Amino acid sequence: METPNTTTADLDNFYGELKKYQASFVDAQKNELTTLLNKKLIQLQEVPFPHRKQEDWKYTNIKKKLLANYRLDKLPGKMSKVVLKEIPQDFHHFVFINGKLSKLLSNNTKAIKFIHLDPLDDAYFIEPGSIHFQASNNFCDLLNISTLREGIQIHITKDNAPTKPIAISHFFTAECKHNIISPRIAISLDTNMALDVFEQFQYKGLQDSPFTLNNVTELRLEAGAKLEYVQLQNTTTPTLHFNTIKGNLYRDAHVNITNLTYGGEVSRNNFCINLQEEGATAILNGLYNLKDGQHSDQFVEINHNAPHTDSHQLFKGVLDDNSHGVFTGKVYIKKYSLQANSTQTNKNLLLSPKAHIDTRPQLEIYADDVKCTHGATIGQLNDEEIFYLETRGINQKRAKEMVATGFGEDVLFKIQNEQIRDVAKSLL
Amino acid sequence: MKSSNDNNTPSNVSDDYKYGFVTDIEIEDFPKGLNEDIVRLISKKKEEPQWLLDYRLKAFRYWKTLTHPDWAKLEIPEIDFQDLYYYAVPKKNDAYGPESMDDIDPELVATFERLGIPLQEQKRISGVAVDAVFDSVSVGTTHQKELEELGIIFCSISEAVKDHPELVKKYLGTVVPYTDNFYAALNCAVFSDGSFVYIPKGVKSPIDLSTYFRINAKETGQFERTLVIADDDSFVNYLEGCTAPQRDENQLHAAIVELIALDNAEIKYSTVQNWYAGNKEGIGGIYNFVTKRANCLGVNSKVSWTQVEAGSAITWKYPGCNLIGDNSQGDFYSVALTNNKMQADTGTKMVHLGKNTRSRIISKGISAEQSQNIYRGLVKIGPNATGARNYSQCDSMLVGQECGAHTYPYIEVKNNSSTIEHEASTSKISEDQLFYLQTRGLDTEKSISMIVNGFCQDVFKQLPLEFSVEAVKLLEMKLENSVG
Repeated sequence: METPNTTTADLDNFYGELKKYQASFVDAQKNELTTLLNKKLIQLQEVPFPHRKQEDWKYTNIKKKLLANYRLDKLPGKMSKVVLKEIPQDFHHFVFINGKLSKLLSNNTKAIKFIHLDPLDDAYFIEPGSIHFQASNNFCDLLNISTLREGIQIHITKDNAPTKPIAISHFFTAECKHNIISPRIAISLDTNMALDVFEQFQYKGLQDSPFTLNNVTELRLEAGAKLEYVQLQNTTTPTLHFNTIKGNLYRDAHVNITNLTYGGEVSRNNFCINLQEEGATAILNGLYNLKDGQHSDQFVEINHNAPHTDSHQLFKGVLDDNSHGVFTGKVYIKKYSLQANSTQTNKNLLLSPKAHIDTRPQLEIYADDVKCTHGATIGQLNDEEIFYLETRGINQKRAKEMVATGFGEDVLFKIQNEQIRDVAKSLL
Repeated sequence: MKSSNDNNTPSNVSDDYKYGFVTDIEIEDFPKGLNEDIVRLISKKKEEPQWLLDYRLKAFRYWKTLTHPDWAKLEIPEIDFQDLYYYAVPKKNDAYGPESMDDIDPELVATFERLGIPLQEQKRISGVAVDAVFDSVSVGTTHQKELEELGIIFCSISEAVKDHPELVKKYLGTVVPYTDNFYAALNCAVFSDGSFVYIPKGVKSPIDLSTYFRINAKETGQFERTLVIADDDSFVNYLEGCTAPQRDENQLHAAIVELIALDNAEIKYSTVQNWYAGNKEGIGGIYNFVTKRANCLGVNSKVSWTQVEAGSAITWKYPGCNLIGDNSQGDFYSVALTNNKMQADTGTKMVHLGKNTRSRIISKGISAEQSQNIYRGLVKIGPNATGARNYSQCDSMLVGQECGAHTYPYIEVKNNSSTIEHEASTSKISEDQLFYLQTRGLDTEKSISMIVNGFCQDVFKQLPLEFSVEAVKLLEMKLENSVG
């Protein structure tokens, strides 16, 4: 595929590496998953490679970073058990090390029925009634399947209803240098089931090593199901991070997603939620707190495909040094989706003269009886607020921190599950 | 010899577009198509200096390297640029326009009178000077003498090239370079006529200046060029109106408007655009692809764009301001109404470069029947624009089940001392509001008109009185029968 400033040879190498990876198991292991992986790789090659001439990638350039970090080496799945202290015992805790599910480090997982997705595993099967991969033509999503190492699939039913929240930790070690790691989480909730999930990404290596992380979460909520999904991205090493959450919501289903992006050199958060039936509600919250040369791109797409659907977005950015924040919010209201209700707010705080924000809150409306609003603000710290704190004896630096923290706190309070909120706060 | 009367006016044209008539007037012969020879021919007809021809050719060569842009949310049927006449001049009218008003073809005078623009001395609207552009040329400019006394230059751009080459050469293409976009390049290559305004230092124009554009000939494109320069401490109020005959072919209108405001100068530019929009099935109508931009070069300079977009099959334009001088200000007030199968992708670009620059964007979109109405706007704050301030408000109103209203704001900020606010909302004419007005004895049509006027109030109050009245009437007429 010809793209500006990208040589064909670079891309040939890229796709070649992916093909080689798949060849390592597709021939030996002909199952439903490997067939699917193969199909998706073909699709991936048909989708244009992201570059800034594309409207969806207008503000984020990932080419150089991705083309430097896409190796698919065999990586060790072991680590010391110290890390586990971070997650309290009262979670069902799944631990991935360098993209591999570590049964040793995971905790309380026996209480839940789940499927371990592993293209190399003989025991792989797709349970009847579970959700299948529904990759759209999204580059990140297709890339994830094409380079899938491992993942889990959890189907919550009356007989498989965990009492505690689920925690999913992704840890990375220095060995993942120049690799691409693509974990995939699929969660489906049966009618009227509820679940709270906390997912975190952390780099645990001693010295910095660049790699690409491309995780995808797929959600399916049947009628009346309720899901809370909290993500914390705290990877501090130079990393290209694609994070994709996509979901289908059916009648009266309710999802509350909160994403906290603190780390990663270049990160891209894709959210795609389809409100398929009446009464479905999606609440999306995001906080991107960036410093140094960090770049974070939030890309939200909410499709109101049925009447009486609600969506509410709150995205906040705190940008320091010469960081760059991007927000694109697309709300699409399909014809005859009457009485749809959508709000979208993007607020940004620029702390330094070199910080930079691009925001695009967009509405596409094809029905007349709807309520849609969106708003975006960009501003700096209020001098009067800082002055007030200083009169109380707090030094300027601390005062600024307090105001900036207060600005972002709104998003943390959107987390409904207190247990998860506490863990998230303690990790920040 | 080709007469513009040999058109095939469709029998099914509706009578709700009262400007849809065709003037039976002979126009000069000119070959169809587009190539370097055509560009040279246009330049020769207008007896242009070499530098302008070189500029045209440079633009044309650049244009040939471009492909038609496809990023807009518009469905544009492919345009055959070789199947157009790029120059259409009423006979008896040389390239520079008539010597005096008496020389104008009476047919033309009658046409403009029918459009409500009297060109003859005794009938003129007092207080407004008009430059009337018919197809490719300016046919007459009124009040020139009075303006001359003040030092104001108001004439067609062809005259300006001849009489004031230093001003034209200095400013032409400085706001919109020929490399700006596809249609800007095309315009630079083939532009035929348009208005030129220069307001000297310290002069506040006592009368409003206005251009009236009329497309008459068939299979022509209109490529006019307007250049307004407001020197230090000056002020001008500029109005623009447009109409075209009803035809079942699409006609292209690709203009460039450049405004330049120097220190403390202020330009108010108002447009009521009512090109023929096609019939109910979406057949015919004007493609209105215009590049309008202002450079607020001086300190404290101010430019305000006000537009009422009620016509054109497809409207694609983003009047914008480059706020270069410190403390300069740019405003954009827009009402865009689409009905039947019209499409509009319009909005503004505010580029803040100077310190303490301010911009305000008020956009009201009304979408009815099967039309698509899009607001697309850019607010860009450069790294040196300390203390920049922007407020944007984009409201959409949907009338009916099958229309679409979309909002695509782009906000790019590279300075942390700036404050940007953007709000948008979407609503419909609610049953409750209608019911309330009806209980007060108003009929449905009147009630709707009242609600719509209220919705657009912020923009209408920016328009000069005559335009404001016209705009209200225009919306009423367009929305007739679309609700209920």
